[in-house]
This record gives sequence, structure tokens and C-alpha cells, in this order.
Amino acid sequence: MALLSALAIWLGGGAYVMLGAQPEAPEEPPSAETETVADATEQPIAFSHEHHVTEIGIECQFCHAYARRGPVAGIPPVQTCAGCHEVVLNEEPEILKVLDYWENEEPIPWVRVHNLPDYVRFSHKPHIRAGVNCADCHGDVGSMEAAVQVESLSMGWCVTCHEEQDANKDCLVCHY
Amino acid sequence: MGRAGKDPLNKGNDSLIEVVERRTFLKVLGSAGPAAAVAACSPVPPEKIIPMVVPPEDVIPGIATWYASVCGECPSGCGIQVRTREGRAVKIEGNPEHPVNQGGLCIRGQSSLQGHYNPDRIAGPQARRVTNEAAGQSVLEPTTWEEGQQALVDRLQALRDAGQGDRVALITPPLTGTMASLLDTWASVAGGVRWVQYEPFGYEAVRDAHQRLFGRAELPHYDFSRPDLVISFGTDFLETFGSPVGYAKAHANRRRLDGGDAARFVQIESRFSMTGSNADAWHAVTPGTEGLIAAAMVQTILAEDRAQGIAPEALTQIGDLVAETTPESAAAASGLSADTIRELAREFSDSATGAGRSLAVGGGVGASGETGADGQLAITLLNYVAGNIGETVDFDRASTLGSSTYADMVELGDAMRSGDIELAIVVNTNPVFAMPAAADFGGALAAVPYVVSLSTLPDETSALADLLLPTHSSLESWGDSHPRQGVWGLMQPVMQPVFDTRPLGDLLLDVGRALGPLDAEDENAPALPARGDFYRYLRDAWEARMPVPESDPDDEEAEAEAPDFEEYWEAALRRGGVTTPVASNPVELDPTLFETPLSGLSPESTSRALRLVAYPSLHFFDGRGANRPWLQEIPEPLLKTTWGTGLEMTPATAEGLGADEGQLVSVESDHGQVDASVILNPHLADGVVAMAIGQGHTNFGRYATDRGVSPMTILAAAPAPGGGPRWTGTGVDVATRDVVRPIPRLQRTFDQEHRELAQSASQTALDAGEVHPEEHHFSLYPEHEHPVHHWGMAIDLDACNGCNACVAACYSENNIPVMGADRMRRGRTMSWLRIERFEEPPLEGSSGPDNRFLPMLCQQCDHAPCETVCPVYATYHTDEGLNAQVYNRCVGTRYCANNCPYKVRRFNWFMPEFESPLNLQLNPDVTGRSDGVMEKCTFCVQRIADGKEAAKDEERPVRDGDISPACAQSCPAEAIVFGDMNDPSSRVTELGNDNRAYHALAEFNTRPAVTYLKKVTRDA
Repeated sequence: MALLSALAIWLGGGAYVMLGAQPEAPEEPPSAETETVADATEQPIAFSHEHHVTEIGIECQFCHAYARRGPVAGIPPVQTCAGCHEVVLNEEPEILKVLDYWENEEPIPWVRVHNLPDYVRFSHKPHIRAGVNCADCHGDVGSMEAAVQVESLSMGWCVTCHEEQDANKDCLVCHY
Repeated sequence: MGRAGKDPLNKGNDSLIEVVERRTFLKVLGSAGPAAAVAACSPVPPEKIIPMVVPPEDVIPGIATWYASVCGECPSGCGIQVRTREGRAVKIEGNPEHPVNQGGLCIRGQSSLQGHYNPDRIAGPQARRVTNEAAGQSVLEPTTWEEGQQALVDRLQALRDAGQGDRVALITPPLTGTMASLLDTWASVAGGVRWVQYEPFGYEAVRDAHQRLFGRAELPHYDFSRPDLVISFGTDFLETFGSPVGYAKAHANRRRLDGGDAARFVQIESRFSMTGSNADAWHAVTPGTEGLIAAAMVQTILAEDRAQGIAPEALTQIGDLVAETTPESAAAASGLSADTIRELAREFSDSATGAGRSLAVGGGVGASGETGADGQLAITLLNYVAGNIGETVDFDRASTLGSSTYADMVELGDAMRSGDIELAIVVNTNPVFAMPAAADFGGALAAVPYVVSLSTLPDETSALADLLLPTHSSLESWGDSHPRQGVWGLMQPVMQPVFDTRPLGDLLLDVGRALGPLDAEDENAPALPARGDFYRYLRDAWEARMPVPESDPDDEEAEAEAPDFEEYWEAALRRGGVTTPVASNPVELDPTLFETPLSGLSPESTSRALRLVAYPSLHFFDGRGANRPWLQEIPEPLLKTTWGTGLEMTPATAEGLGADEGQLVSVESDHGQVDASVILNPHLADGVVAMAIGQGHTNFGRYATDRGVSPMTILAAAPAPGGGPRWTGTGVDVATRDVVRPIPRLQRTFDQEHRELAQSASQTALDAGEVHPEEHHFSLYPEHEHPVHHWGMAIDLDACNGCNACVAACYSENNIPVMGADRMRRGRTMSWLRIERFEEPPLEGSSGPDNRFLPMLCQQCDHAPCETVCPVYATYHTDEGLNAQVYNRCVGTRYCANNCPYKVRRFNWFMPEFESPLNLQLNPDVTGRSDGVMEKCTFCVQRIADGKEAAKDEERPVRDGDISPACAQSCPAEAIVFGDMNDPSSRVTELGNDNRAYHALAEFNTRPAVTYLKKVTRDA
């Protein structure tokens, strides 16, 4: 790997961009769960994961319902939010924002927190099937107010886990 | 990410596609861009993640949803399955359950996506506004649907109220099923509208001959699955004639060796067609003499008393009809020897195999013209005396296509010019282009006070319209198709409309209702239903036609169970249609037939030096496909020309004219003149030049306009006997001009130079057990381990007919960019799969070359020369035997492509471009490649991943047939078989052990995972 990186640098800047999938990995993995790779981003609605998960006890996949069925976990449709909040806490200022979106039939423009490069074919489904916990990759979102990226999601980080779990490490598993 | 910012999907709440999977969509557009590349490790520009407001029930983001429907490209009505992702259609495949095509789909069907997403589509209603009356200038300007429809209603109303409904002309393509019955009622309600269904390839000669022979003006169903001998008289039944995908499937199966004695196939024509290139024997004849040869064969069969199961009286009468056409006279006119004619006649009527074991096909465009109708009559008589009628020629399953002819269009044009037509409505047909220019249909339309176009695409005809009310594409519409007796296909919309268009059926219903009832007093007057859209109309029609099970008087319970229409409808939608029982209705010879002699068998003489054969294009059909980049880019199967057409002539003719490849020549007939580039084609009959139909558009969008040449410009306006156009036999003079304008050709030589890439074996040698599979050579490289799967492919060169369907499927599945004419001229094709064509000297008994098609794709070599030279490990061998190509690792050294002996790797010299909204077709399962990256086939690794995933869901191993790459799926002839070579019972393993199996360039010992099966040469 070191050789490849060296070669990539030798080949120049353009090549480095192409090889962006394996930049210098963080020297050490984050030591504590609170350490994040990015600051919390401002969302259109101050949604609290902690309230929904820890205090009320809603399962991740109640809202992110596609995770076990397909590649993307899915952001809950506005219908799911409105399903409860038309009745529950429907006078709170943040909830009123949600209900505005619902009444105007507009989606909520959430800001993406976890993102992968476009040349990575990641699918949630096989990971759920293999028993990986949501928190293994996303951190303990259930105790966060706003969701924040905790893990680097770099290729090295993916491969480390695949190695530990004896999962397939073929390039074509993720890159095609 | 800049390109993604201009998100063409983002157009409001009603669009399902905008709300999901933005990221996956970006994968296609922005892969390997700098911002994407660093996304994993540093803060990225904020990206929105947009949820759905209300989730649709049948969509899981990232998982394809399939819809069964009917292909709308030609009248053959193949069943299709459309793969949609997040609300947009991304791929079309043949429906394996549909009786017409049984899973295959042709190149035109694959490309219907590019018609649907065509950037030149009419984006909304437009009306013509006169800008300068004195100068006759006007422009088309956007209008609203209300105003546009009202303008049409007002004019129809005025004419109907004045009792002049018959001064309205309605021109549509041939329609079947519920749309045809709606139009029938509509035409009556609007006051007796003059309705003509026009298609240039209208089988007029076939319908006319069968009317005279049997009193039934029908195109029968030709059963290619049974005959021992097929003789095609200039008919391109593997390209455009009838139902080419269905014919190709049946024909290929009948010619497979494992079915016992395979059928022999003889083609008689004046230009070596793709269909003819698959024949065991090909005979070049003078254009227009095909029927004469058939008549001479009938004469021989009768003279030698070989007719089967015919009443003696009929035999005498038929004998009288063909008494003059001896093999000798036919030989003199056609150039085919009398001995060959006799031998063919004997083989065709071989009593050893019993009656009805042969098939003669005629009536294609290749054999139209002056002699087309009588020629077809002789060809059907040939089938008749060999006992094929009711056997291989099946009138019970005849095509139900409409009965208008080219002659009706000429008549309509005359009526327009003489002021008899006040209003013309043109629906998705382009007669201004697709009729001989000498008929001047454009001039006729100009004489009509008001022209309305209800078309999807702007073309030469809609350019003359005063009002454009654009209609939905077939992927946006409800509808059905009744291509032949016993088959009803159901068409359903697979996505939201791309543009501001309306369904044709809804439009007609609205306009018809606005007119009010024709006669409110008369209950029996034709009337449209009072309410409901075309979807309702279609459902009602299907409900009325739903078979009611016969009640059993002894079983009271069964009687109580009324059939449930919802269930019936749902099942039909899911399967793509229904099949219905076919009534037996045998044909009988019409005795009045014998009152007139068969006089029209000899072609007209011409004072001009050469004869023109205008032939239908596999890619463009009658010209409707010319605005699709895939169809322009993929090389034509025989000449390998791209992005253009020209005048084909033999090297000898060219030498006589002093012309060379690419030289511009002036082609002049009695009916017009046109300039064309010379394309050398050695396989034409003496004195013949040829030109493909379908190019030479003057106003058909950015990809088609001013490209190639149209034979319509020099054909006669007068209809041939039977009512069809005269495609063949027009006399032309050719003069060389001092300009060179070559058409890009992707393959310049068809000589293998003894490299034995495309191999063959004779049937005799195979029968004698003299052919053996090649042996593996010793290798210094260590062997690869394939512990679970070892993917492999077998390609049967005997089944491959060169139709390019696989190539288009590959473009569609793998987001392969189109390069355009200039780059193609430099050979910069990006195709991952190409069909190479090679010629060997003619076999005994044939005057055509021993032609071989060789689909060439990445061979996924076990000892791949490309892998060892990659400095960055971007290409390597997987455990499953794939030669992987990791795009984000590739740095573009191109060492791999230089070291690949098969030349199947493609380098992106340019950033690929997909003009909006063609980009909506891109497959989100395949990463887009940027400039500087090498790409190639990986056996559709995304489909392998899907197949393995589906098997895991069901907790079972992958089964043979679960996974099919796009090329194998689309192949009408099932020439491509994919599977796991580790599975001893898989088809690919079985074929790999076949005696015909070999590997391309085996001497390099690259150990390819693609096994070819040698083409079989069959002796006469």
C-alpha cells in the first residue's frame, strides 16, 4: 500500500485525484465515540435522534425502513413524521415546521451527514443481514442530538472491518 | 459536482424521481470528479438528502422496479420488460413470457429509450403564428393545451356541422387493438374522417397476392420452427420483415444441431443482406426476378409430379398459370442457373420428409417493385404446391394489421392537392420523409388549410403542421397490441411523462367528446363513452373481451363463481398480456385467380445503366430510428458503416465509374437526383447499386438531420401493382463528382488473414466425429483458483446472426458514451462489445461469401495479458474468474489496452457527455467513467452481484440461468450463454465441452472464459 501511495504521488496531482479512494488514513482511529470527523451540520429542522431513540425507544429501522431491504437505508418520508406529529406535540415550533412541509406536500431538505464517493457501491442490506449494528458505522446516533459522522468511512476503514469479519475483500464487491 | 447542480430531475412535487437517491444519481454523473474523490476523508460541500413526501408502495430506493409492456417501435408487438429506478426507465429487455419474442429484443427495441428521452422531443403544445403574411413567414410558438385542443375541436366541429367530416384526413401508423377501435369510432363521430394507416413497409404485395389467391388480404404467420428448408426471396426476415425477433428465435432454434437435422436456409436476392449473410447458400439475382424463380420452381414441381396433397383440378390450373415460366426462361432473366432452380425445387418439395416441411418467404422490401405482387403470388403458390399452407405458412395466426396501402396515401395526396381536404391530422408517422419525394406529400400537405400533428418527435411532417399537440411515448402510455391472432399484449406507462405531452387516447377522447354526439336522436350512432380516460376505455374493452368460462350445468358452485375482472386484469398486466385460443380457418384457392394470367413477373426494362435496390435498415427501419445516437453509432452489421449511409456499389462498378470508397457521386433516376458517398460492397448482383432506407433526413433532430442519403429522393411516385412503393429496380445513372466524403467504417477488411478468429466446421465432419475441442496448452503461469464461481460465456457462432441487439443492450446497461461521426472516423468507438464480421471464399453451391459474425468482448482471460502490465493494480483477476477493472484506481497508462490481443479495452479520451434528458436513461448501478480512465466489459458484474444477492435472499446457491448479462438476455437467437463453469451441469459448461468449442487466439494461451462454438457449414 505504501508503495502504491508513493507511486500515486510520483504520478502527479491528476493521478492523486484519481486515487482519492485511499488518501492518508487518519493516523489513529477515533478514540472515543464523541470524537467526530465533522462538525454537526445545521439541519432544516432541529431533529433530535436522542429524544426519538433513547427517550422514546423507536428502533432505527422504524424510520430508516429500507436498510434491510436495499442499498439505501432511506430518510423517513414526511408522511412518517406527520403520522405521529399531527397528533403529538403538534404545537411545538420545530414540529410546526414539519407540519408545514407536510401540508405543502414538500420534502424536507435534510443535509446529508454520511456520504460515500460516487464510485463506491455500498449496500446496507448485506450488512444488516450479516448482523452489523447501525452504530458500528454510524456511531451511537441514538445518543446524539443532531446526527454527526463518527467514523472516517474511508476505504481503509471499510477493509479493516471486512478483514476482521472475514468478509469479501475483492475490489469488485464495492467498485464497478 | 457542478454538473449535478443542474439537476434536470428537479421539476416539482409531482415527480417521483427527484425525491430519492440523489446520491446514486450523482454516481452516474459526477464519478471521479475531484470533489467526489475526496469525499471520504474531508468535509464536503453540503449535499441535500431529499426524502419522499409519501412513499410509493412498489418502490424501494436503489432496487429496480420492472413493468411488463409492449414495444412500440414497429408493428410486430414484442413484449418488453422495462427496468425503472427511482421512477425513470433505464433499460428495456424482452419479456420471456411473451409469445412473439420470447425474451429477445432487437436493436430498435433497445433504443426506444432514446426515443423516449430524446432531447429533440416536442416539449409541449405549439401553434403556428404568421409573422409576415406577405412573405409567407411564420413560427411555431408554445401554446396551452386548452387553446391547442380547442383549436382542433373548433375546426373539426365546423367541418362536421357543414357535413364535411370526410374532408378531414387522419394519418396514423398501422394500429391494432383498442387504439384502432377507438380511432374507428372517433373517425365516425367526427363525421366520417378519412383515415389512412401508413407505414412504408406495409406488405402491400403480400396482402394483394393473398387476396387474389385466397380472398384474404393478410400477412400470415411464418412458422420458422418447423421447416427443413427455408428459401427467402429477398426478404429480410431477421431484420425488419414481419416479426424479426420472433422469426430469429424460431429460425435459430430450428438450425441448432442438437435438434437433429438442422434446417437448411437459402437466400435469393440482389443485395447481400444481413439475413442473407446467414444463409447456407446465397444467390445473387437481377432485382425483381425473385418471383420468376419461384414460378419456375412451381413449374418444375408440377412437371416432375412432386406436388403434395393438391386436388388434380387445381394442379392443372396452376400448371397453366406457370406454363411459360420454365427454369430456362427464369435463368435467362435472373442470372440463377436453371439447374440450381430445379435442384431447389426438388429439395423444396422433398416428399421423403412429407408435406409442409419447407417454407418460402417473400414480400419483403428487397423484392418489391413492378414484379412484387405477382412475384409474391408465385411464392405463395410455391408454398401451396409443397403443402406448406396451413403448416409452416399459418393463416390462422395472421397479422391483424390495418389494410391501407401506399397507393391510398398517393390518392390522399392527390385529394389534398385538389382541395378536397380541409384538415389533416398526422399521428406519429412521417409520410413527408417516408414516401418517395416524387409523390411530393409535403406539397400536398402544404395545400391543406390546417395541419395538426399529434406526434411525439419533431420531423419533416410535423415541421409543416399549424398545430403541434405532442403525445406520450409508448413508455408513458396505456395501450395494447394485437399483433397477430391469439396474442394480446398490454402496454402500461412505466414512468411520469418526461415532457409536457398528453396520451393520444385521452386527447382523442377529449376532442371527440367536445364535438358532442354525432346524432343525439339515433341510439345506434357511433359514440364515444360519456366519461373516463383512455385507461378506462382500455379496461372496458378488455373486460368486454374477457373470456367467460363455460358454465357446467352439473356444478352449481362453479356457476356462482363469476370471473373476476380485477384478477384477470392484474394478471395480464403482470405478464404483459394474454394469449387467446385461435380459431381454425383454413384458406382455399379462389377459382377466379386463374382467369388472369401471371403476367407481371418480368422486371421492366430501363434505359439507365444501373438498377437501384433500396433496402430497409436494420437500425433505422423506415427512418424513424435515425435520431437515436445508439443506432447511428453502432456499426451497421455488414458494411460496418456508422453515422451515415451512401450508395453501395461493387468495386467493379466503381472502377468503371472511376470512383473509389468515399467518393461523392451523383445518382440520377427518372424521378430525381441525389448526391451520395460511395460505399464499396462486393456482394451485389451485376448492375446493381444499393442504398439503405432511413437516413437523409432534412428535419429530424440533431442526430439525424443532414446525415446520410435517402433513396426516397430518387424513387418513383407511382405505386407498384398491389399498391406498395417501388423500392427496387429503379434505373439510375451514376456520375462521379470530384469530392471525397467518406462514411466512417469501423471495420475496413473482412479478411481474417488466416488468423482463424471466427472458425467453422462442416456438418459432414461433425457427423463423422472428425471435429474435436481444442486442447489446453501447458502454461508457465500458476493457475488461478476459482473456489466458488467461475463465470464463463459460450457464444455459438452458428446461431449469431449479426443483428447488433447485444451491442445496443450493452450500451444501455453499461452507460457507454456515444462518440459521434468525427470521432468514429478516427476509430474511437467506446463499445465494450462489437460484432466483427469475416468472409471466407464462397462454399460450394453458393455465390455469396462464407460469412461469419464474431461477437467480440472482454474474454476475461485466466492468464490475462492486461493484468500483468497494470502498474496500479486497477485490473486484476477475481476469485470468480472475472478480469476486474477498478475505475477509481485506473490512472490511464493504457498499457492494458496495448497488451490486449483482443482489442476490447476502451480508453476515455474525453469526458463522456449525455445530452439531457438522455442522461435520465443512465443505469445507476454502473459507475460513470471520466476522461483518463480505461473501461471494458466485466460480464455485467452489477447483474452478477444482483443475482448473487437474490439467491442469498432466498438462502440458496445461485442457479444456472439466474444471472444473464445484458448481451445474453437480449439475444434473439440465444447465441450467448452465460453461467458458472464450476457447475458441471450448467449450460455454459456443457457448451464448453462441445466438439465445436474453441477459444479466440488460443495460441496465445490466454485461457479465455469466453468459449466460441464454430459456425457450421451445411452442404447442399
